[in-house]
Amino acid sequence: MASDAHGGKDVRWPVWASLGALGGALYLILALLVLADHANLFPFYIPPPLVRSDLITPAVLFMIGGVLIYGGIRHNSDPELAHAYIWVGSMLSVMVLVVRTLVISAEAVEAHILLEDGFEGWTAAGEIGPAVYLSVVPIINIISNRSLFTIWRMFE
Amino acid sequence: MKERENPIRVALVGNPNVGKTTIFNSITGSWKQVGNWPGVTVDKVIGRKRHHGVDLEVVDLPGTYSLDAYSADEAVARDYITRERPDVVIQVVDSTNLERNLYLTVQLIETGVRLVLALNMYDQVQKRGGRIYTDRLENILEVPIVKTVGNRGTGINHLFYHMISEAHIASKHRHRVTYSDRIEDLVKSLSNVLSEDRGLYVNMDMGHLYHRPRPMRRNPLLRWFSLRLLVGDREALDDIVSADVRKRVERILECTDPDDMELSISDRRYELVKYIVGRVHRGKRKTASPSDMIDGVLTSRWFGIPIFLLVVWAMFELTFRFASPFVTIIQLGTGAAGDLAMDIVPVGWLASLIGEGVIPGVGGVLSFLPNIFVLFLVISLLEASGYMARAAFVMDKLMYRLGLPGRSFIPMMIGFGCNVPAIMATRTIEDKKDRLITILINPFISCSARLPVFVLLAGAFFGRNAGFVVFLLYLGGIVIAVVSAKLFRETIIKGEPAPFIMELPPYRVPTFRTTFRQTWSRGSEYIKKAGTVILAGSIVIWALASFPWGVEYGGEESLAADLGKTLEPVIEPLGFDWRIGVSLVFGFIAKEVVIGSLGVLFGEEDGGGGLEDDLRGDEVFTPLSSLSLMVFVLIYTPCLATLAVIRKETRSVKWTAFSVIYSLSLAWTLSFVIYQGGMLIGL
Repeated sequence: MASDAHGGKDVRWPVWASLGALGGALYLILALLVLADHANLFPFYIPPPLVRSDLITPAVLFMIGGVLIYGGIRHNSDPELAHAYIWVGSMLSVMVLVVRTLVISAEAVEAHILLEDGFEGWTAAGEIGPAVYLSVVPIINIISNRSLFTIWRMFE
Repeated sequence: MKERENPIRVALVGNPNVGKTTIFNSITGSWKQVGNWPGVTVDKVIGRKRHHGVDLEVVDLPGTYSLDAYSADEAVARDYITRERPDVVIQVVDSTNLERNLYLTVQLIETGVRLVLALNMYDQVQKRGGRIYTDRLENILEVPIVKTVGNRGTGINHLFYHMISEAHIASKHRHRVTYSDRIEDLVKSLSNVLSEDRGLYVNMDMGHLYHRPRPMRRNPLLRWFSLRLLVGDREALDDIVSADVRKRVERILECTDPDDMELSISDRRYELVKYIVGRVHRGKRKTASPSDMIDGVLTSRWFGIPIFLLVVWAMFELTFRFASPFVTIIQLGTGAAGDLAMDIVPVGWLASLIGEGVIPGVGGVLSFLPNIFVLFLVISLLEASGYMARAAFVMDKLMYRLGLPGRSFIPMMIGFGCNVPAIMATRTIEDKKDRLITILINPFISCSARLPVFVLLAGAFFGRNAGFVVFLLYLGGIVIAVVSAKLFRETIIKGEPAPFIMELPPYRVPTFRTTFRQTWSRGSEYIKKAGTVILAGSIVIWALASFPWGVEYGGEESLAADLGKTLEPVIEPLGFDWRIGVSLVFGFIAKEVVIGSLGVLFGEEDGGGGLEDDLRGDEVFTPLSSLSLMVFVLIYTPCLATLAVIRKETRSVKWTAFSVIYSLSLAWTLSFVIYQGGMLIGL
């Protein structure tokens, strides 16, 4: 658990806030990496699944990362709002994960069953962008922290 | 109980988004559209039900906070209650927000209707640890109370019992809301004068009571009518038929200030509501709910709009890319069916009609069914979750700057499905100028009928970026709509937009049943259209392409070519040829017909590769001309059904004609700029 000196007393970060901020930081770093790759600013080779994506991916990564990090840093001043930010950021990650998984499944059908033009050499691994594998951190956060998970109750 | 000849007329009334339509569906077994945002129902919807041998006619009314009616949809509810006098009124109340809902209850009691209160979503009160003492509430209000949970059907049988039994008894209210002495004196004077106007009785649908011995000035409806006059309701004044009575009424009203009266009357009602709630409701202290906290994020200044864009992007990513293989499968099937028809039908002209006309036309449109269903599925999920209202809230600030209230954004979102219900949804907008602008810009929001055109052309010419291109076109539609709004506001419809006040509904998990029903009900409309309008359009286009008989099908000598070539000088600078011109002309009937026409006019005999391949192989189509065509289809003349609803809602031929001319000119100009600009820079 992270801690910080704040106003003369120790303010502890719960696991969910730390994981949220960590997830957010990863999103932002990957977004910068993707952008840098697009701009040919990297002198060395980066494996395609790490950065290969369309231009909208960095925007998605920036946005989700921004929401998660903001939630993490607001924990000291307004824990409830921070909680909401990390929950929403996590849900957005899950939404992107679901969308991308469905799209990859559909493309797999086009590539391997329908043998459509434009899908030659298509592989699922090549399509898994950062937005997909990064959603693991928010999902772990939701599953492992009951306080995050119970917010779902309001929807019942 | 005496047998009735006519059905019992039951009205469902209540504040917006309290679950009236869900209760209506449970009572009548209908599948009417429901949504988790205020303003889903904008007109009365009638359903019938026979229960234990009794016929019921149930009317679902638009939501209203009061009977004062500030918008067109609220006026529908008020007029039905006060003029058509249903046998029983069921007020659906959001149990979690009793205080706000009871204001309408008090007004309904004042009109003297036979009232039944359905305390809906009662399970939510219990879940939050609260309680409503229904026996006390029943005693105070003197109306039957039923606890209901609409989406589970709880309490519906109880409601049936009360709607039937209440219809056969006289109203039993002994109490009435009493106002200050001055207001009571004025009401008495007005009632005395009004009771002499027989025409008014007929207007209020109580002419049959005129000759009754009981003095009509004691009639609660007359008292209600007097109160409306005191708060300055012009429509009430116009209902007075006798010139003499009207003159005397105006004389009484001369010495009153309607604003003061309204304040004083509503204060008294709120006082009463507060007293009632204090007696019957026990709840936990209100703190910020998780729903409020999540709103803090979804409607936040910095993240609100980006999150909205992310949601819209996800919607189109699914609509385009997830549905793609299903589209391919249907296209392969229709291509094969067309070839088969050409091979096995022995009569030449019939083979041509089926294989080159009907199957490419209708099949071309039906092949995009997967996209349509996915789009409607996502829209249904957004509506049911409550996000739609947040989207309107988030866009309010931006919209206000552009001359529109945030409320206008909801009809724009509905327009993604179809512009017809979207334009009807503008009835929730109180300000007439705001409403007119929202109606005029709505056709720029790309409806589902235009989606197949985008999917086809973007898929053919933009490869795997097609989804993003479609997303940009939809965003482009929104931008054109709001820029047009700004233009109208600065020029022909001047004025400030009304401030936006909207209740944010609680978030809810969309149920499978409701989501499936909504998606199916909207998607099946598309299938029906394919079997009617598009089938007819395809046959007409086939005939134009085939006649005079014996000419090359769709060739330069055909009637279609004659029609198209008269347009060619106008559309050539946009990168279109006569065949596209013909498709656009028929797209005026319904936008899907554009696809059907392209299928008929560009489809090759060996249609195995599908229309996409046929278009790619035709010299008139390039990525630039296809972009120009997509932009033109996005903006040009609304379809026939949309024009009819614009005419109906604006009640003006002038504004309808303006809509056609403006959209056609704008479409031509933007397509011209795109095509000629692209050519200039060598695209």
